[in-house]
Amino acid sequence: MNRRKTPQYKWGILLAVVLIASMILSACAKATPSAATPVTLTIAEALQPSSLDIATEYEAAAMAVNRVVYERLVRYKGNTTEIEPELATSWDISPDGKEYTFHLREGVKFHDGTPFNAAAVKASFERVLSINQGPAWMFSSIDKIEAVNDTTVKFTLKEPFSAFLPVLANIWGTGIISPTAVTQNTVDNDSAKTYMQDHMVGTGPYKLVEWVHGDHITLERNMDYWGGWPEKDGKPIDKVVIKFVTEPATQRLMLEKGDVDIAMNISVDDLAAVSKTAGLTLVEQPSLMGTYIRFNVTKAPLDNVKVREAIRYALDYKSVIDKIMLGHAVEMQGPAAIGLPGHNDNLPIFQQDMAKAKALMAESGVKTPITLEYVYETGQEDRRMVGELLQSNLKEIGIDLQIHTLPWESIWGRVSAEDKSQTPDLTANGWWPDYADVQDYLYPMYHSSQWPPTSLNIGFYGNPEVDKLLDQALAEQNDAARNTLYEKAQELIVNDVASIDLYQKTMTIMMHDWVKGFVYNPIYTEAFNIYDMRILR
Amino acid sequence: MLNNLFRRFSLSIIALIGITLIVFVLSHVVPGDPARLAAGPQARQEQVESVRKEYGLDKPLPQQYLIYMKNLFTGDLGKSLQSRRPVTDDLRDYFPATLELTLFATVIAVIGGVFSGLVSAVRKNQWIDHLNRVVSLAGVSIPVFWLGLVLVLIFYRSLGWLPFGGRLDPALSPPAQITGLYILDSLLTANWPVLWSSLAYLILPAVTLAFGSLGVVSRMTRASLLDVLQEDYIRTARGKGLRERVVLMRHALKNALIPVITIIGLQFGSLLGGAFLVEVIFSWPGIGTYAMKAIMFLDYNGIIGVTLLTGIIFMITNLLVDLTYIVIDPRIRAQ
Amino acid sequence: MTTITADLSSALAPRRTFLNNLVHFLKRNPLALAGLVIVVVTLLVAVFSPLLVPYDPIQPDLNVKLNAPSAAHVLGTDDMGRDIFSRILLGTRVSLTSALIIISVSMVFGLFIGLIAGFIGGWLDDLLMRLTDIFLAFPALILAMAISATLGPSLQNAMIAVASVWWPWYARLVRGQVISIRNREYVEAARSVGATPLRVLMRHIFPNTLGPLLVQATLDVGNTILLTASLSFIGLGAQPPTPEWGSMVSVGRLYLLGYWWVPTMPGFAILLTVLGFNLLGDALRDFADVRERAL
Repeated sequence: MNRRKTPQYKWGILLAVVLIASMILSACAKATPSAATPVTLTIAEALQPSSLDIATEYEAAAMAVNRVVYERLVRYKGNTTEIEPELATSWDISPDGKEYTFHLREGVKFHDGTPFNAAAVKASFERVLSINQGPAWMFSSIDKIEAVNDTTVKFTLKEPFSAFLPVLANIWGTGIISPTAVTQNTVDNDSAKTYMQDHMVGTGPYKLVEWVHGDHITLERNMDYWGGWPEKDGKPIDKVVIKFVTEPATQRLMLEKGDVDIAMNISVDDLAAVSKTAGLTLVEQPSLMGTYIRFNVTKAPLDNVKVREAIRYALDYKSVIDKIMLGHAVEMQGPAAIGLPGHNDNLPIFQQDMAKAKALMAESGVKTPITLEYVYETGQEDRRMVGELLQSNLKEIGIDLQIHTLPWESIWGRVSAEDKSQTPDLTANGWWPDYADVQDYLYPMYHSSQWPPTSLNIGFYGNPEVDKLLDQALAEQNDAARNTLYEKAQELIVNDVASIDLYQKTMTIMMHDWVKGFVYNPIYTEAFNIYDMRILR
Repeated sequence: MLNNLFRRFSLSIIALIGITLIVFVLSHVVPGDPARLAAGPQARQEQVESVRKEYGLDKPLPQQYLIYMKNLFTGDLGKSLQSRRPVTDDLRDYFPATLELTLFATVIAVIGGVFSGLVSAVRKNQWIDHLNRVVSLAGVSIPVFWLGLVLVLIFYRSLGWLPFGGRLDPALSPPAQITGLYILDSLLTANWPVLWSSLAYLILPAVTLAFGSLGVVSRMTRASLLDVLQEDYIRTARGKGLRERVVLMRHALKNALIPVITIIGLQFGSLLGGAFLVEVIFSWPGIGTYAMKAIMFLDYNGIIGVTLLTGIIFMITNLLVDLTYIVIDPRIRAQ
Repeated sequence: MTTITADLSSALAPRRTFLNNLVHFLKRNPLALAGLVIVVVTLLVAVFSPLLVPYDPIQPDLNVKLNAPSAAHVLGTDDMGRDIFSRILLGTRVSLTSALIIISVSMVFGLFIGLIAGFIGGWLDDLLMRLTDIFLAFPALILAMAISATLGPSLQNAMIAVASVWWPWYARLVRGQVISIRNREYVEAARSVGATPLRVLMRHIFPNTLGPLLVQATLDVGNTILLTASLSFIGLGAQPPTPEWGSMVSVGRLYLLGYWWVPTMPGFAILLTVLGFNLLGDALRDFADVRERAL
């Protein structure tokens, strides 16, 4: 073999030089922003929405965009669940609770320049109702909508519906869309459904600029916003980039590097370390998002209330809150979220009691060992850990818990299957209320008319007394009387051991100190009050 | 040879049709209700039915398949349940990112692999050859999803040399779409900041992806080159007193590359598969990311669409490899 | 050149047995020896892991959650406070068992299809080979992903998915062997003395296809482990709390920044095991090559 140094090495060196040079150059290309750059807010968010059409889609991922591009008649105020005006300036409710008349703000224009008026409100809601997908169920109480005059619109309900205003303040299906944009882009009678998937024509302070699928959505300031742009406490935000970053670890890296201003999905195990980083703040707020495990009460041996109760006593709740959630959650008290109007504050908060669990197991007459299946949604790591803990707890009372992770769609397929042997024994699930009313917790999950596939009573719970209380409450106009009915229902559900009510995660948002003025609202969980926010570096 | 090419082409078409049938049948015997998910967790039954009708999910399975196939031939892959848009639109948006990543990785694998294979062959059984062998084998043994994590820790977090998380600095806007490949588009539109930024964002994922294939190409080049170097015509060339470089580059390497090209064709397929894992790590907005979401949503049209597209790309690559043979090797042309 | 001639002469030496050759070969190839050692250790760990684990690999102990590597937990603990070293040891068994099952299933299936296609030939051969074409027309990972996604996530389904993209390779290998053997003289001879086709197939052809098939199967162990781990990584494989390496990396990547050992250790276990099999396989291929050239 010839050992002479062959010149192809030169090519290799050249190649290496080119590679290294391009690396250095590209690192330099990320130059510091010049003074003229717009004030930009970059948010890392794990999930990308399916669609931006509030009439068809119904998911937390689109909340941030929807809150500032569209506006509703009414909204939740600040960090509360109180209702305040948005596009309506005031409203009247008829004494029988069936007619809601809204007086509208004047001089408001849509992003396409057309004027906002009563006809637009009517058209927007009728569009949602006629498409009849996603959030339409919330508006099923509406009988008709009339544009009384240009600035007055009247909703007539089929029956009194005590939660109507909270429903109107929610994000889904309530934003007012430019009727001109809808008619101009309607193809094959689709009410512009295709167009509105990636277009938004609202009245809000921000406009949709682009949606690079899989990567980001960009919003930009609507200079003609009816509220104006006062330069109070600094310049308003010109540009919003919502970047889709699936991995929590990636979000943390990007936040630490300053590539994003806000990260929505930092894992709880990283929070302690990240909040210690200089310049980063953890915004932590109680939420109304409940996490619970539903028993399939129709399937042996869980049709035996003693077995269910034994399991409920076997779980080590303290470890769940302190060790798994690391304190970023509070244990639930009954089936509805603490903090919702109508929540029953007198219910027990459970603690592990193995002696009781064993005794109950013995009393139940069920022969151990038994095998049960625990199902949770893929990606919900806290529910995996709870499952693994419960598995080890249940081992002590002779129950072998098999854990399965499935996409939500498969879980849904199994709970709504005709063949009831397919339904899992225990299903971990979570719930965040669409609007601030305890009815939105109890009715879809515990009323016997709401078994899958109709709605989310995935444990097939049914108690005629609970049904009656919930039905009565729905029609009750008096707040105090309604809350009494709801409190009674919650007590019955706890006594029937329909579920293990785990915890309400706190909302944890990590942001740089330079982000100012954020006010968290417990209903608009994934959204920001960007109009009022400032970036002060 | 052309006959053979034509035969392979038609066989590939049959294979593609076969796979639609397999995935279609599999996906519809599994319990689950895709309409339900699209309608949303709280939707009432009537709203679910309205979605079911819109997506044609209310028809019997064979009829659904026939409709699917009929639409397929008009270039319509159905509607995606996760994005509620035509799957073809989704693929058009997501695929260029994957293609850019895979092509760039292929270039790295080929240049790096041929070069290190050449060095190995020249320095056969010396330490550099042994090292090369270990690195090559480590390359095919390393879980690509793990390598990605490690490289991010080193080059982004500790050293801060390279950016990551997407294709482009979020402060920049993507270039006007011509091919969808940011590098190419920004070159064509002379958009230098975007070119540098997209190149920088591309390096980490592409190197991660290329590592395994680089080893394979390197081993193949070495083996093939060693075979060729023993041929008579090389001895003749050396005997003529040609310089070693000329012998290597002009005579040996050219002939040694024929088997390497086959490997590159096959590697392109495995890079395409690996890209799916790499995209997850790097938040790369390609069809891998899209496929993950399709899996989460049991979006069958999306899953079949992605599978078909990669199959077609794979098929085209293999045809191109065959054509390259003909161009490079006159003996095959003559057959 | 010297090594090859040495190997050649050793392969040709009449008194040397196969085993002697192998020992000689390994002595001259430290990398092959390293591979062999890794593979043997892995196999031993897989068999004896329940006896070796210092802690229960399944039982959570939240008091030692996410502890860094220390004397008590050499590779640290995971998010449920389980000892990662114990989980990796038990994971060896999970990975090797699934690789073994996948390979046996696809081997049996591939052997069956390959024998029929090669022996009967004609339109049946055409049909079966077109069937394998369907599977070979796609990158393995993507097809396996599509199949296991439609079947639903579980280790069993992941194994079915991997096996269903693996068998066509074996079917083709066997078919090729059958065709080359079919017309050899001794097969012709058996036919001429009146052996039934089935007897010819079973006695004369089948045994001769096994050798190359087994060699290929050994070479594939590393690849199947990697492919199964990849499926687990994207959430299509083992279910918690099964200590499968791919899913350990998958879950662990949540902790990459704060607790680097959680995803890094199982990933390294995959690398080491697969590398062991590949080193050995690579050397075996060289060894077989040398022998073939010598014969």
